This record gives sequence, C-alpha cells and structure tokens, in this order.
Amino acid sequence: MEKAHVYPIFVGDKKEMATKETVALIGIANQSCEALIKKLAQHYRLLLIQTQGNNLIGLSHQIMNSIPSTAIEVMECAKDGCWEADIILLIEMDNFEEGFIKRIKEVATQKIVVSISADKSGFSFSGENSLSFLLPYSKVVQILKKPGVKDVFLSGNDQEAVQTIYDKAKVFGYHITIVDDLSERAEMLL
Amino acid sequence: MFDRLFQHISEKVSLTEEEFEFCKTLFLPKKLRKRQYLLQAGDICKYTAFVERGVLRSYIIDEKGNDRILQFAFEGWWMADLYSFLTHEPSQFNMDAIEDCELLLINEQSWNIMLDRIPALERYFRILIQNNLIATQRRLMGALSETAEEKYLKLMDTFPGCIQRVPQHMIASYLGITRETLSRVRNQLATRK
Repeated sequence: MEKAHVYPIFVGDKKEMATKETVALIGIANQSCEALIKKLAQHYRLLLIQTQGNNLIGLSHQIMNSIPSTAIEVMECAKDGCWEADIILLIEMDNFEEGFIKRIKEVATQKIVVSISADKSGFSFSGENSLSFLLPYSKVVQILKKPGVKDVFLSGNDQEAVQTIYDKAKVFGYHITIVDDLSERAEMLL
Repeated sequence: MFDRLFQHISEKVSLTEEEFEFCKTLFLPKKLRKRQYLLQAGDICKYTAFVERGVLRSYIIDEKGNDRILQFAFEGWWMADLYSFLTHEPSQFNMDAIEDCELLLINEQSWNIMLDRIPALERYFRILIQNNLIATQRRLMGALSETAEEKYLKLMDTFPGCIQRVPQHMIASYLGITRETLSRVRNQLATRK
C-alpha cells in the first residue's frame, strides 16, 4: 500500500495540511455516481464497496486514468471498508441487505456516516427506521439532494459532524442548507 | 475487537460489564494499512490510539530528512502526541503503521466522558502515565550514558518481538545509532553466545 500523501486540502476557505482521509462509498450503482466519485477522488482516498451485481473495477480504473494522483480501491466487504474508513458514505441506500447495518455498526462507532438520498424512500429521516436510530453511536449526517436540483439539504445528530460535512461539501460547489428536519424538506421537494 | 484493551484495563482496575459496554461506544475502530499515516507533523493529534493488533511508530524528520524514531507501539500499547492531543496545537510528530494495524481511537471529548462516567479509569490512566514517565526517564538516561550494546539489550528486553517485526534501520534509528553499529553489536552478541 502506498504511503498516504500529504497534500493541501480546503475546508471552507481555509487551506490546511492534513493526512488524506479515507472515505468508504456504499450503494454505488455503476456509472451513476461517477461525477461525485471524481470530485471525492481529488481530496480523499476512496474505498468503493462492491455490492452484488455491480462491477466497480472498470469505473475505478476509468477514474484513476483520468485523475492520476487518486487512490481508489474496490472492496467486496462492507465491514472491512467501513473499518478502514474515516467517513462512511451511503448513497441512495433504498434496497440494502437485511443485516447490512448490523454488519457495519460495530466498525462505524464514532465515525461520520453520511447518507445521501434523493427522497424519503431510503432510510427514514426520523423514528426507528432512521439511520440515527440504527447507528446510535455514529455521527449521522443525512443529505437530501434531488437530481437536477442545485440545492442540498443537510441534517444530523451531531453538530460538529454536520458542520464538518457542510465545510467539505461546500468545496464541491453545492448550495447547502443545514436544516433541523429533513423529512419536511423531502415533502416540499416531492 | 476490544479484547486486548479490556484485558489491559482489567490488569490494572476492575470494571463492570456495563462499564465495558459503555467504553465500546466511545472508541473509534480504525484499520490502518502498513505505511499509512495515523498522524502527520502539522496535524492536530485528535486521537489517542490503543493498538489491538500491529505495530505503530512515532517519529520526527530531522534536518537531513532522516526519520528519527521516538517510540514504537505494539499490541496492548497506547500511542499519542499528548501535547498536541491536550493543547490542540499542531504535532511535531509523524505516526504510521509498520504493519497492518487494528486500532481503537478515542478523542479528547470521549476520553473525558469516559473518565467522568467510569472513575476507575482515572487510576488506569494514572498508572499508564506513571509508567510512561519512568520509561521516558530511563530512555533519556540510556541515550546519555549507555553503550550501543546496552541500548540494544534493553530494547530486546522491553520489546522481545521487535527484531522480527521492525526493520533494522528503524531499530537503529530508535536506538540513535547507525545501521552499521547495530549490525556490529548484533554480530558481537551472536558470537558470544
């Protein structure tokens, strides 16, 4: 494994030298998240978790060829990927395997877990089916972003984690609003 | 995942099952691959790390660009830049993995919560800090007065598995001697046996 690079990253407008963080991405459906992955690859070491039916190796090679300085790896085990990760990113997790949360729960403790959804059909934003309930010891940040809409809404159970993700997401040029209740926003966007 | 940590704690203080379960919720499990950084000079040391599996090293880079190793941490050891951890000032140290590691990390906020909730851990960490102070004094005295052979023998005594797991050049760096001197010392010891 190559030594992690020292490189300048921007958090908000502030330039900081930092050890490159590792982000595990789960729920990628082939090419659908290519734009997001390319943006992330410029700032983070990425672990793409391959679920049944998705072949992400071609996608990872494509991105590494277009951005040579990237560190991207495809992994089959979500638990191992989340164990290595500093930040866990769940993308449109509408149809996750039963027990998936149970598998990653132990290794997601105290980590920032970000869930990106386009609407309410994935994880609930509140109640017993919410990610905060299912991962009570993780710092859950939920992002609502509908395709084709520039606005991004952010909410979470840990203020510092929400601010961290807000600062990181701003770098990518999104127009972000932090809200208390994402379910209300989801209704408005339907 | 927490076996070694809880065994280490149990050797010094008694905790209830409930207290152990509470501790689990405050630690961040982190896998680190060989040569990956845990901390780089200039970063703020946000976590103190307990080694469940693997070997870490902490080092600085001198004016000639050479690594100068301050410490190793094997299974059952803690590692942090306490100055940076407690003051939130940038660290002067680098920390990386000599082998693939499984670590348990805890930040200052969680650490304080843990100590507030489980007073027995105050004693546990006090014992660790005492031992660390003693070890630091011994290392300083050794650096000032011991021969290369004495330093090497003390290292073998403190870290018996070191020679099999840590590259020779890192051992030499830790002892503050050249690779050639280390090689000579090892040959002399082997000849005497």
